[in-house]
Formats: sequence, C-alpha cells, structure tokens
Amino acid sequence: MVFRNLFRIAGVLAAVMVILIIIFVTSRGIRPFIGGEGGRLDLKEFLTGSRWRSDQGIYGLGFVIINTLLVSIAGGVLALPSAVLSAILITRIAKGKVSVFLTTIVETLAAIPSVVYGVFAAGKITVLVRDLGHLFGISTYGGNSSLAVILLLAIMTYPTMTTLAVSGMRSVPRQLDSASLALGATPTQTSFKVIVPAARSSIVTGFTLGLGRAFGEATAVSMIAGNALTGPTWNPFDITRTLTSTMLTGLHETTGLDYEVRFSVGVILMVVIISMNLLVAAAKKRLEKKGGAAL
Amino acid sequence: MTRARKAKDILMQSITWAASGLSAWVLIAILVFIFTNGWKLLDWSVLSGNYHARNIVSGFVKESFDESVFTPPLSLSAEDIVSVKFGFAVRDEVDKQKNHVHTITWVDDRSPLREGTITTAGAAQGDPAPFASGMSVNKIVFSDADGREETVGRLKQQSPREWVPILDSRAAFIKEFHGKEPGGGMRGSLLATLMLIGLSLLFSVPVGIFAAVYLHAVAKQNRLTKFIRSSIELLAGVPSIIFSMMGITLIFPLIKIFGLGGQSIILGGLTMAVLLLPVLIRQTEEALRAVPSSYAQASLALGATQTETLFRVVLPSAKNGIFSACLLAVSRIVGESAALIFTMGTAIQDFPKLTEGSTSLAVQIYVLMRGENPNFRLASAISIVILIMILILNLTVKIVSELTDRKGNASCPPRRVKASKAS
Repeated sequence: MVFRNLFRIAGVLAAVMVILIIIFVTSRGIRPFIGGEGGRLDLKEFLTGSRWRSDQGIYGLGFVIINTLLVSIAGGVLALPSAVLSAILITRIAKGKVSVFLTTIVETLAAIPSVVYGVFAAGKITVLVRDLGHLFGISTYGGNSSLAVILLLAIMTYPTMTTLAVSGMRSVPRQLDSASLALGATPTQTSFKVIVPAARSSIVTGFTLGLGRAFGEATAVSMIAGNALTGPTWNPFDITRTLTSTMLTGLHETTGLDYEVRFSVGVILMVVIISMNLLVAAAKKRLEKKGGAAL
Repeated sequence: MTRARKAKDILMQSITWAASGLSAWVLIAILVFIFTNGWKLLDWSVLSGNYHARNIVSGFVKESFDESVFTPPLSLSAEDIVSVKFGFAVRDEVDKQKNHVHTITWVDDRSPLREGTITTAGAAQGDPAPFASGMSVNKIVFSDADGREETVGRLKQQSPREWVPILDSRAAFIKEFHGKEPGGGMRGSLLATLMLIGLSLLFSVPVGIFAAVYLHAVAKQNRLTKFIRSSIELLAGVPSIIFSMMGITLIFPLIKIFGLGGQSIILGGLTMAVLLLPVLIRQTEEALRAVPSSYAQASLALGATQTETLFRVVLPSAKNGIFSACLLAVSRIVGESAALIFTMGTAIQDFPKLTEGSTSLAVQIYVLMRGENPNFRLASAISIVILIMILILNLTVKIVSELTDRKGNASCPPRRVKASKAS
C-alpha cells in the first residue's frame, strides 16, 4: 500500500513538473511588465519592437520572434525533403546491411550533442557561408549569418524527421503496397506515390518535433547567430538574433532588468512552441480528413 | 516496363541515394573537422590538467642538495638543455600566445628540485610544489659556494643555452624557483560532469522508475492517467534552455531553504533530474512492457502480493531495459549544455565542489567558443572526449538490448525468485 502511494506520487510529480515549469517561468517572466526591480517594460513595445539594445534599456523583441520563425522554418523545410528521401531509401530501396548502415548514420547524427554541432558550425558552416558570400560579392560578419543558422538547423533537425518518417513508412499496411504493385506501378512509383502519402501523419509529426528542436536550440545557434541589434533580418547573409541566442547573451548580469527580461523571452519561446504545436495539430487533422475522403 | 518509366525510376532512386549521401557526407565532415582540430592536442596532460595556468613560487632547503651528478635519458634531443647537477632539462619554446617559454622537458626522479615547497602566502603555502615536465621556468634564484645570491632565467633575458651552464657551474644550491604550470586542461570539467551524472541519476532514477511502474501497473485507464501521459510527453518537448529557467525559478528557492545559494552542481543535478524524467519513464515503461505478463501472473498465483511480485519478479526481469534507460540518461547529461549554463554557471573550475558553480565538459566547450577568439583546438579536444563517451554508452545500450532480445524468449524467471519461493 505504501509503495502504491509512492508510485502514484512519482507519477503525479512527473506530470505536474511541466505545469510547474509553465507557472514558475511565466510568473517570473511577467515581472518586468508589472514593475519589478530595475524598471518597467511596455508589453506592446516588447512584443512588436524592432530594436534590442540592452545597453540603452530598449527591449523590442518583435524582430527576434520573426527571425526565430524564419530561420527555424527555413531550416526545417530544407531538412524535410532529405529526411523523406532518406527514409524511402532506408525502408524501401536499400536492403539488409545497407539499410542498417544508413540507419546508423542517422542515429549517430541524432546522438551528437548540440555544442559539438556548434563547434562544427563556427568552424566550417560559417566559413562556407563566408566564401559563398564572397562569390556573390557580399561581405559577411565572418560568416555569422541567418544562412549559417538555417544550414545548422537543417542538419540538426534532419535526424528527428528521418527517424519519424522511417517509422511511419514501416507501419504502412502491406495491402497498400501490394495493391499498388498489382495495378502495375513500379516499386519506386509505389514508394513515392503510395507509401509517402500514407505515412504523411508521421512525416508531419517528425516535422513538428524537428521544428520544436529548432526553436529551442540554444548553444549551437548562439555561437553563429551574430546577435543583430535590429531587424528583422531578411538578407540571409546578414547577422540575426533568435529567442535563444538572446537568452544567452550577457550572462554576467545576475540582477536587474537585463537579467529578468530573459525569463520574459523564455515565456515567448514557450508560447511560440505551443502555438506551433497547436497549429500543426490542426493542420494534421484537416490533412487526415482530406486523406480519409480520398482513400 | 517502358524505357521512360525505367529512366524515371532510376532517377528517383538516385535522388534518394543523393539525399542519404548528403547526410553521410555531413556526418563525415563533422567528425573530420572535430578530430583534425582536437586529436593532436588530446593527451594525458590535457585530460588531467588544470584549465587555469598557475604561477608557482617554491623554496628549497640547503640540505636536500648533495653532490650527485645526473645522467639525462637518451630520448632528449639537442634542443633540450640539460643541467646534470640538478637533474632536469629545459627547452626554448614559443607558446600559443607567441611568447617564448622555457619548458621543462625532463626531471630526474631523484632531483632535489622535486623537494620544493610553495612559499607564496595563502592556503597552499607549505604544500609540496610541483616541478615536472610541461611546466615552464621563469627564473631561478641560487646561492653560490660563498653564499652570494644570483638570479638566472627567462626573466633575466637569458636563453636556456646561457643560463643552464651558469647554474651548473656556479650554483651550490637553489633557493627559489619561479615557474608556471600550464593551463588548458579539462580535468575540472571532467570531474564536474561525473559529479553531475551521479547527482542527476540519484535524484531522477527512483522517481522515473516509480512513475513508470505507476503508469504500467498501478494506474487505471482513465482520464487522469491519460493526462499524466500527455504531460510527460509535453515535458519531453520542452527545450532545455527552459529547464535552465525552471532551475532558477523553481528549484533554486527550494534548495535555498537548505542553505544552498547561487549556482551549483546540486542545482544543475536537480534541473537535469527533471529534464531526464521523460526519457527514463518512457524507456523503463517499455522495459516493463516487455516482461511477459505470465511472470507476474505466476507469481501472483503462488500467493505473492502485488508489491512482492513487482519487486521480485517484474523489476528484476526488466533490469536490462532499466539499465539501458540509465545509460541513455547519462549520454543526455554528457551532451547537455543549455540547461546547465544558468544553473551551474560558466566559470570553469579546476577543483569543482558540489555546492559551487562549475562547468560540465559541454559547457566548457560553450565557454571556449564564446567571445572574439574561440579556442577551437581545446573545444574540439573536449568534443572528442564527449563523442567517445556517448559512442561507448550508445554501443553498450545496443549490446544490452541485443542480449536481452536473445534471452527474451527464455521462459525461466530470474533465479533469485525461484529460491525465495522455494524457502
């Protein structure tokens, strides 16, 4: 009986954590707007502003939100085709050991920690972007740019999307496959035109999970974002600033508005991720409805 | 099949190969970059060395010097200037900051210079002073046979070729040694990472296993259970930087009650414990689900209570899966950076303490990469250490799960249960 209650407490505790996180981070994050220590911020300006000058006490996060959405979605969209194609290769075309080997590559990419990606991005991706800029006659800030962040996020979201797409394609019923082949389609046509649409629910889930990782990715992105002071950044070769890179700047402060505002940025990050999830969930529902009618 | 269809098929297939080839190429590029930058630097002194360089001033007593003559090992090159009287060799080198340094390359085991004690005021005063290969010599103060003091070394603008012969010919004994212990090591972060692993697992493994047992065996299939499941799912999607904020806003005030203020490994460990819960619960539940229900039924039929059945039959049968869950948790801790930056701080410590802030290996990389002049070489060397750790952990998980799969169909429950039922 004692143990039964202990188990229940552990289960409830684990479940309650996420609620506690939302409550505590939010309550700390709204402090700068209701006038805590170190001054008061205007919520409207905070949400729509296009300048972030902590040295002048100007905190406009609007452009940062747009930048974050831009680089994350661009990275995700860049990774999605490669992920789906790789999943087709792994589940449908490659056989036996080759398939296992390709899966191992994806697993290894997934296991590399984000700081290591950051070191690679700062040493290689930025150099690539810098040289690309030279090619077009554009000078960059040592390669620190939107484009570098997009490429990095594409690499980092690829394993998540591939894994989900693979498991989705594996669980497509055999009948669909056989029916398509019996109708005279080639195996490759079947893979592209039957299996991929049938696995779209998993592919979309993978895309959402990948985007979630992209929005929340902090250390690697902050190494190459360049932390622009104004924005939004439309030019891919220009420096950018994301929600997470903003949270990681000026770590030396531990008091005052400069410190407190970080929690407000954290709240916005949570809001962005949650709304993205809701949006995709709604889109998925519509997609499934449409698919059900077509089948 | 028409030729056009065939061509199209081949084209589509090659696109899939190209996409996978791209990912393989990226992986190789990452590994090549990290290894070419860090492999040469990575040796024992970097693994076990301090990060912060330390100036050493040590004093010697006259009695430890005798008239012995030392023979240098054959491995020394012409660059190494040997002092046969005191049993050491130095070399003129240029360090990373382009400064000349006189690096010690050999110290004889019986050299009297190993007998020094630290003379600078402070906590370390009187401790044995290091005098070893890898350190650099700034100056040496010696006394000649008549008791006159003289100073030689780099600070007197002398090269080793000049000052070592002076030392050998004139010095009766050495009074003071001013040197520097090189920095750029990762021992502190390595220790902090190990402490963090221990603490995080200590806090999260019991809660994780209990919660998994609850979901698997105790909870009824109702709304509450569904809510708990989706909450844990949601927790898995929270970005780690938000966990960092949770550490400060939720856990920090809690441990402050026990007198722990500020950033510390304990705060980092508790934060990581929450972050790890979804991984642990999911993996443990999967392991529990893999235990055939006939085991539990047999145990219950023999008259064991539910708790007995759980602790003596179900959990022992799932131990491999639970072990794998812990290993996955460890590899998550080793790679985590964002959740620790606010909770453990960014000050690299050579002697980490549980109640004080310090960096894990991953956070040390972040600190090295920050700022105008990122230290790629050390960051890559630490990355290699992290990658090797994660590789070993993941391989172990694979081996364990393969062993379990092979044994999975064997129909005998663990031996311990049999014994306890027999008595």
